Amino acid sequence: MDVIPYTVKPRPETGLYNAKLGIWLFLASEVMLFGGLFSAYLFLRLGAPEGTWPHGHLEVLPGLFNTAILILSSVTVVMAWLSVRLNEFTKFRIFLGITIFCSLIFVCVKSYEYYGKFHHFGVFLKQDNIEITGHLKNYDEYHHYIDEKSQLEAKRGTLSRQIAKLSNKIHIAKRKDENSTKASEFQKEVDAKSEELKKVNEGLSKLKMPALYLAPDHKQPWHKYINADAKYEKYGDALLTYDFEGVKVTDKKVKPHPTKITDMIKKAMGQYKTPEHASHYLKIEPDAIKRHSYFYPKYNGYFAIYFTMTGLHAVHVIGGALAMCYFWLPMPGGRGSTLFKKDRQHFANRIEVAGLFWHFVDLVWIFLFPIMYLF
Amino acid sequence: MSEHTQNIEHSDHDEAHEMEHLRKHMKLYWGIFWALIVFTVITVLVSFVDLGADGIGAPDIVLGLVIATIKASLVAVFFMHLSDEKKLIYVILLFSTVFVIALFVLSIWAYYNKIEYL
Repeated sequence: MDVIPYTVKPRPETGLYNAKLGIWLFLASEVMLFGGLFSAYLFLRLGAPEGTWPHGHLEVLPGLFNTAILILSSVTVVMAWLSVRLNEFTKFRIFLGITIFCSLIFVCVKSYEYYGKFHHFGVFLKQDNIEITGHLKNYDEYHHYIDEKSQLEAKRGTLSRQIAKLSNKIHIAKRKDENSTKASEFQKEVDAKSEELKKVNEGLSKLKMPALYLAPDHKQPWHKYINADAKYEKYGDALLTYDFEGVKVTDKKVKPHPTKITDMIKKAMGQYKTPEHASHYLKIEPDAIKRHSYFYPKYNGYFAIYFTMTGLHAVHVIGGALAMCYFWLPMPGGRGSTLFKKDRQHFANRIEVAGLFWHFVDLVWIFLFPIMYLF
Repeated sequence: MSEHTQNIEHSDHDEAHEMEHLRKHMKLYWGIFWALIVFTVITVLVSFVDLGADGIGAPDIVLGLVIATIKASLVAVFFMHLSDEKKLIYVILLFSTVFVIALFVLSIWAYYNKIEYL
């Protein structure tokens, strides 16, 4: 069997060593993969009704920090490659070490951002599709309701499918023999299942969604509606009640707590001042709600494409970091960084190829940062 | 340097020449690093300034994307050595770039081909 020769030197046919041709072919396919997703982003954004594409859901600072981290790691990986060519082993390990460390920081910051989103909550009101975002206070109650609802819905689905299957069996049995005993057995089963289904449906209709208590975010797009349509009134210990077409949204006093890292540091230093906006929460009656969810991909088109693209990018970061760990660790038999001393030319090629992949990951982020965080 | 380079078949003169060449590159790469950081900060500043309209062709979005393209070019040309590469690589990249542009054209085409509602 012919195999592609494992050569370090450039091949005369292409002028390239094989690994380099390989990585560029791979990167070209990656360009098309990410190109498709960027095109999907454009499609979603252009397709959104005018003025509805969300802005300001992400904090700029972690994104900016991660951009700088990736740019730094891009330089250090090229420095690592130069150090191999200059025959400086210690420098090589330092530079590649920094690159791996940067990728770790990147993934940590990204995880922190994801965590924040998964704990952020949003409600769309029936009236004018007004969006209220914040942090859910009564999440125990809410989760209990969601769990129970999804369990009942799953049961309803299973029962409906079973009934449909049995009905089909009855149909077939009756076609063969009008008075088949099998058919009547099936019919009994169907009756039992139907009874069960009835109970499940009753349970679903009895299930009441709890009112949601939301600590609203500072910037609220719905604030502009208060002066226009909603009426204020004093309401017990609540501060205000906004009346959205007869459905009350109540603003209550709560003990404020800092949610941002900077605020937590300030609190620890005793310099934290309670911000005005955090001192109440909203009680939103279920009748007023059109839809409600955490900031999961299903929340809106923006989060769908945000999680898809940054998730795929993060997978690339992790993959690149793993490959670089392999080149950093000294392993016997010319694997890992021991190849440096065994065959430096070969090792330089490996680092160059890993570097090319890493630069590509940086390049994707250079476009992701402005379109997801800024504009 | 104590470790002698056994695998690299250069004369001492060639090697010294190449080393100097590589050290020059190091300076260039750090220069690119600072350029990238500066461009990133500029993009953030541009996003804070409200240049008016939202939507396709909004000036701040266009400016942001132009800066992003410049940054990407810096990375591709210098870090990925595309300034001096073999022809085959350009051919491969041209091929995939054509497909990506086609994908973008599809999205923009869809934008200008909207369903009419009454």
